[in-house]
Amino acid sequence: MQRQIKGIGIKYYYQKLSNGLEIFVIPTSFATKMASFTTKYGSDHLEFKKKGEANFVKTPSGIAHFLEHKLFEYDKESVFDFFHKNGAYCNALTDNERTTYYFSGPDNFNKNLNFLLNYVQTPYLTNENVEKEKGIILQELKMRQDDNFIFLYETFATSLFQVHPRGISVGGEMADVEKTTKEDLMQCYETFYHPSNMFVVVCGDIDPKKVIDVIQQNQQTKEFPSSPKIELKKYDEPDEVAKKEIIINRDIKTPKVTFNYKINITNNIADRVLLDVILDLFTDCVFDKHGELNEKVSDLTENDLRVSQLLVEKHWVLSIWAETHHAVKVIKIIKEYLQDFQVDVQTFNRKKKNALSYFLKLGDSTSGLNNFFTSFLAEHGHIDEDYYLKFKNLTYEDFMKETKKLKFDNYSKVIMQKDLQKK
Amino acid sequence: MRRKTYHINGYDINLVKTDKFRQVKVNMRFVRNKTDQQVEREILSKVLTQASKKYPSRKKIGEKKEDNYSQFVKGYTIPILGENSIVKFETTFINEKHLKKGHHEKCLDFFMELMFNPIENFRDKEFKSAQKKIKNNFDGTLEDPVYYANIKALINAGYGMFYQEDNYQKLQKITKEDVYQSYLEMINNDILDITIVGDVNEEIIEYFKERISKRKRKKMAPACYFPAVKKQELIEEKEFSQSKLVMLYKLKAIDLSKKYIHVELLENILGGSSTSRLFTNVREKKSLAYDVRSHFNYYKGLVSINAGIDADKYLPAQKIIKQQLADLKGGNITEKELKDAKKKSLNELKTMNDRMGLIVNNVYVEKYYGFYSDTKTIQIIKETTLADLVAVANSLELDTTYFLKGVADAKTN
Repeated sequence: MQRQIKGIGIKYYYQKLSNGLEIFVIPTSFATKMASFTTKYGSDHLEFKKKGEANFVKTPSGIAHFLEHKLFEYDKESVFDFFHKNGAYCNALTDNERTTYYFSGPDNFNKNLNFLLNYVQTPYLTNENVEKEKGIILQELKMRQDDNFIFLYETFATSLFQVHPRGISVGGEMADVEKTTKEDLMQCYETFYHPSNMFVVVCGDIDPKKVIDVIQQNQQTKEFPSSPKIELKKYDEPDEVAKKEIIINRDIKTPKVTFNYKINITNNIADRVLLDVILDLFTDCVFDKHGELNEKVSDLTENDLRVSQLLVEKHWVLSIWAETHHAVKVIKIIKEYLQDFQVDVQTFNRKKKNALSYFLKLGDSTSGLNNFFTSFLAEHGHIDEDYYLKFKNLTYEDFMKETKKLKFDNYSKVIMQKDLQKK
Repeated sequence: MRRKTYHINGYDINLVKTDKFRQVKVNMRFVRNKTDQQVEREILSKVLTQASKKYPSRKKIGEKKEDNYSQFVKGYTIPILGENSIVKFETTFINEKHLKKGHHEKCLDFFMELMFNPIENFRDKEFKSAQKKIKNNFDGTLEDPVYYANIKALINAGYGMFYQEDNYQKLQKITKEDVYQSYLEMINNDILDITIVGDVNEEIIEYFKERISKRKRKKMAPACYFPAVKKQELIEEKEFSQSKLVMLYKLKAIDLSKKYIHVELLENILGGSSTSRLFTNVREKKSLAYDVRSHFNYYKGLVSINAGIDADKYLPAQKIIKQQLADLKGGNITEKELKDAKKKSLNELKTMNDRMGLIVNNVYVEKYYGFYSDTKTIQIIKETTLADLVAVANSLELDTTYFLKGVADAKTN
């Protein structure tokens, strides 16, 4: 079935198979063909139960990421060898809401696609290969710990969330990784890797109908148990932050600071996609590199402010990053600015123009398109055909009305600096 | 896709015409055949895109970019390429076929304004901001264990690096007048090369021809630099959770301009993929590292190996790595490994034209190193034998082993 993101000319084909697997195919003119296979299972999904069961199962942190490592263990053939000899690059990634396996390359597309579906759907876990993986994962976590920016990113989430697993890094705690067992991993696999919880996204110079046929035939050769009715634990995350301040001691010349707001959005519009659009535009307008706020702090910072934002259930998290020797002053300026922020209509319109450009540019890269579809599906559960129109049709008045509901009064600080007591 | 080089007025314009993309990319490079002005060039790469006579502030420039549908403009440097120093400016904008006629000219006019019409001697504000950001980047790079270990290993092996103390000192002392003088030299005396990628016609050549005056054609200095082999082992301690092992192998006694494809294929087998010798033996079999890889740098005549390991695994990791090299030198390479490495290289060539940045890069790689065209490269890849790989393996000589020993865990309060 052909569909499109309206108003911008991005066409895609959609099919849902009888086992529940969803397929999205986006034809392009590029020789590079890319397929990704995603489960809507990420590091946030630590506690779950089958519908009707009394108690939630609690799994060790980092287990979705651990499982991603282990699915590359395929008993029929080495996954890396297979793609290598077929001229494709393969990898996988885990984030808070999904785990994605993918390959890209110009040749042997159908063969590679079948292999991707087969190895992900055929786990081969033994006590030995689970133990062996722990050493590799621990090295990955240590590498991330030594990266100042990654470590800050993981710590800012810790400072905000009291009960929601978003406060724990995707890779998990080292102690949890060490105690993870084959049985834990298999339990998660059986719960979250059912086709009805997964989707495939394909981009490149391909015939969409043929691609859908290949996937359909592949799935028809396999038997799956009936779709498990999974109930994910709901967290009643308080509005207050977990820790108002965290200090990290590192041997660095310029302190790095993240100033993080946790904002309740239950009074904002219910349309999550539209809200995302508004919040994206808001951060673009307010934290513009050449905007008023950056200008106000420019003498106090060593670099432009950076900003990241995410929606986690009923909270919007806005994190502002600065490299500065004057953290107190910079934070004061940001706080005051946000208490009474102003966005003029010209700035708003220029940022909307940027959005149009973003959509046009999307079509210039196979991996860019694939990532866009995959991330959107993981976050929203569907492709909103009106996504672009929601940008285009947003009025300045509606934008201001929604953004003025945001209350900037609940925040945490994470400061990475030289140990002040150490000589 | 069609590619043509126009030699005009003492400079070159390389036009790569392709209808694959909705955007147009223009890359303008200034090449100085000395490396004495690395700091000046680094500042120029930042300051020129922050203000001009017509757009005298960052705010005005930002607004103009947005009015042009988010036109991208950025400056970069290659501070040391052999004996040259390069500063490049790039702009990407939406093809007017998707907007309205005249959009290209609007975007090109803005780009040219930034390059050729700066405020004389620059303004304090933009100059100091550029200086501050580069200093911050300097500090940040040296605080990252991966970069730090690599930079230290390369400096010790005899390669010039931007991130050296003398540049750090110069950065803090330099004046905006010094940098403006360097700008005038760049604009008037550097080798100029422009590459355009996108669905545009030859009118664009006329556009530049009318606006960039005649210049004296110059030659680049050699793009490669090969210092003599040293034999050294260096160990340094720092507060990191993970230790970093860097092993530098220099390529001796081969003509790299002819043999680089052989080295590329060999490097791919050694540590260039997830099926490589290093990945299999260091990571998968022994679980010593998450990240272990090799990298072939042709303009340094070097194959480097990097691994992130625990401090007490220094000797075992080193032993396994050396064993892999010994195996390759001894001819222990299979036909399957060669076949798979060839396949990977051929597929990289096939997909290279899917990315605008790679298309630009490919134009310059051919120019700088005298590398072959795609067709000739394909032929050489196909004809490469196991004996060719063993020959280049035997020209690899271990130069520097550098170990950044992590001695502490990061703590939070």
